[in-house]
Amino acid sequence: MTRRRTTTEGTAARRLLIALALAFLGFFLLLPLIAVFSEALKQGIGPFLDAVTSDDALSAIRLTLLVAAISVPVNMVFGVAASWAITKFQFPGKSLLITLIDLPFSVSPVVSGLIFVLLFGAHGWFGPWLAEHDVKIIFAVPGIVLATVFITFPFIARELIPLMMEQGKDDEEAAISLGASGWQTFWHVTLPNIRWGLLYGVLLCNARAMGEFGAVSVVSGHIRGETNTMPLHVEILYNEYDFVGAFAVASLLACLALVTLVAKTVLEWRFDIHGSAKH
Amino acid sequence: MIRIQNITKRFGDYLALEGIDLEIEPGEFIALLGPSGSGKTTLLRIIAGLEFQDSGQVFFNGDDVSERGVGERHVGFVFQQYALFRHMTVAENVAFGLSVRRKDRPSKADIRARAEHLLRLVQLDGLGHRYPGQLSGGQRQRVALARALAIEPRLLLLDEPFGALDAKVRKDLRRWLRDLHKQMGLTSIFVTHDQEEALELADRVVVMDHGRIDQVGTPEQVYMEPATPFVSHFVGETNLLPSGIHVRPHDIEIVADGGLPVMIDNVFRKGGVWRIEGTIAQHDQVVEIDLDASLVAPAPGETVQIRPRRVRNFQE
Amino acid sequence: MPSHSPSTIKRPPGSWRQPSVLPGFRLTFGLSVTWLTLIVLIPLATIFMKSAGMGWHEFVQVGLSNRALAAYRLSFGTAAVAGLVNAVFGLLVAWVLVRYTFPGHKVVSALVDLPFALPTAVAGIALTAIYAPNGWIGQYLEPLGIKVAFTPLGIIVALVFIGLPFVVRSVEPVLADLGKDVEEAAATLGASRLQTFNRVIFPAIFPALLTGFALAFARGVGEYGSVIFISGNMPGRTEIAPLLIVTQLEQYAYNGATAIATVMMLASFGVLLALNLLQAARRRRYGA
Repeated sequence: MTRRRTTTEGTAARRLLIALALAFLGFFLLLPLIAVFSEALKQGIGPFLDAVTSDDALSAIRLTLLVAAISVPVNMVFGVAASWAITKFQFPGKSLLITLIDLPFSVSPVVSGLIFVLLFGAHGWFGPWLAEHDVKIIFAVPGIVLATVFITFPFIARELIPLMMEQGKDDEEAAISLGASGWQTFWHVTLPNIRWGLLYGVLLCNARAMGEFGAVSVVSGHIRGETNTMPLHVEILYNEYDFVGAFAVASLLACLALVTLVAKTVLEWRFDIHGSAKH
Repeated sequence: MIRIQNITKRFGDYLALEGIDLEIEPGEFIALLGPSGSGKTTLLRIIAGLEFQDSGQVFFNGDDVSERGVGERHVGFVFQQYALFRHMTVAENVAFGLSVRRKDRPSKADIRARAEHLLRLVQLDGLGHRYPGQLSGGQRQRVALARALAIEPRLLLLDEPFGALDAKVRKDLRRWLRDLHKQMGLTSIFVTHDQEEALELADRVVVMDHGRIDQVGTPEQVYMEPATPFVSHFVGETNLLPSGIHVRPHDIEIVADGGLPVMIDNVFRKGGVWRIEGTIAQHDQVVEIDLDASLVAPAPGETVQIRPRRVRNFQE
Repeated sequence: MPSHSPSTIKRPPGSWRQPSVLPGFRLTFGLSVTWLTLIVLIPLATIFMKSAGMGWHEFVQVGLSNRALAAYRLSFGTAAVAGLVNAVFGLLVAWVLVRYTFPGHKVVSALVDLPFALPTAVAGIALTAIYAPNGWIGQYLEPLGIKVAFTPLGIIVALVFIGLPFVVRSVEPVLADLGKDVEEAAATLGASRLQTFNRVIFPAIFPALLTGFALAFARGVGEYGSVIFISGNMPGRTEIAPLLIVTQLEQYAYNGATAIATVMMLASFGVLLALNLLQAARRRRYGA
């Protein structure tokens, strides 16, 4: 029998390719994930619990949640507004606007932190004025929030723009022509259409907001119990050779990543938001 | 000669083709006509070697090719969406089949000359440097044809060749393809769901339904002497009158009396005839009648008597 | 590609956008542009203004010092190598995910996004635990004379981790959209499977692969969190450019940090701009 399939490989080639891909993913992605949990629980559950319930750890968790609780909604409002303007109207300079929104993606996290130090640091442009009025931004929570907002700036807009572009504006025009107000149209027509895409963007934005390291590291000043987020706390513990502690806190972040991945997969699967990632 | 013998094909539980037998003479232009799901495209793909039958055989000139892959069958295939290589120029598309030959590959100059010749044949000379994205639908269709012809196939297969084109281009291309076939004499099979297309182009029409062949015949035969009720309905229009009589709209005449009473619902002009839509009074059954435009059409609301001129009875 | 001829567009006097029955343009456009300006544009501009303010001579001295040059070489070099590794394996992973079904397909597909979701610092310490000389894999490589952690190789490993999803997610949709009929067409024309891949499939997905490579590269050049744990941070040897910025900042050498940041930003923008121009030229050429 020489029936040759025209668009697929033989079984042997197929198995080999699958095996290669899985081996690669196993080594580069799965193994690090396993390592986090394994190192965290190396000395049993006791030291693990001690590490994640220490005062410093709890304050890092609180700060991380606070930062995410501010930056995600802020970027959500921005993302929806920008997508509305970009997808429902025709105006010159639109593609420039889209490019500018994506800008933070192409900036190193460290540089993202640096720019806020240059603006608000002690030697920065507004530094003297801020010192005079006793406002602390750098090495304080506002700086961490600012840097995080900058880093996560494009996430939601960039999920919504392609989605709303595809959906067009027929539904909204129909609603307006039936006498709905702008807000009514948004709440009852647009939002239901984009909610899963919005959720998807929020998910990715949140994961990055909670996990951001480089930018936050530059502006935080690493003050224990005050300006340490979870990723920074991981670094401090690690540099103090408290490996179990570092991996314990890291494992919490890894859990966040896993929850994000599961939620993302469920969203993609159930609602087919992203049969394909559109760039 | 192409001989297809007792081909059966299942996709899971679905029986796509059942006991297909067909013989095609050299140089014939054959239409596989049927609704979607009739198995026509599957049959075409089995002939090409893109799909394999579960049982049965395919012979090319007495040569059993049933187990041979598509690369060894030497058939030209024109895909429904053309499947042009977007990143290659038109000329590179046409030359592809020659340039991938592992033995007896012609020289570069020969390949170029051959591609140019084919582009002239499909009336696209001068467009060789363009990319498929820069062509119209009809032009792409002809590039796909030229590309298939480049390998000098012993058989040309076309899957819904005009399916993706708008009405006007479709008609022009249809005429052009018929002329091209006459000129080249290459045995060709095309799949279509459009009976008009099949009747206009093909030497013989193979009418398929539910994985079976209902009738094979000249356009005249399948139209005038449909072998089954399905053919009668699918090829041309047919009224089903009470007591199982099948009659074409133009085979009905209006008589003074002694006919079947029909209540006229609607009358409109359709080309050279009046198309009359009515209801057979006793049976509440819709009937369509074509009446020569030189006659006076009855008015809606009137009741007339009709009589079929020429009927077919099918023994089920 | 204006879809209306200019004469058919009637703009209300004083408006530069095309009319629409939908409300909210002023509000949403104003909000997004203001926010963009405050959060992104002004802060980014400070880098360039500060650079401009320091004078060419000083800029070159701190921005192109030997230590800085070594850091650029390392950052760009490792990012390029990692990008290439990801181009190869990312294509393989995308191929396997699009073309084949196997048990655990969904889990594997989700796992590909792990680097997007896992905080970089976590990835960094995990990779170090694996590749340190006494680590999970490191201990077996050590006797072979292969050192991963605390060498440029370690940086590459971290950047491969970070960059993989960029390539996979760029290539996947294009590969999925590539019609089966195109491959069948190649087969009917007598092409072997390998010829079909080389001449039909690969050229079709190459732009996506290039995009994935460029995104992974740009990300890799700026990457910090996952690298600093595994790199060893030896000046001139394993000190990446972002780390050098941090070091300069810690020494209050703001000009040095700014100059290095400027060079890096110009380089990443350059890469992304080149990529966009390339893709635009391609689109024009193929008329798609």
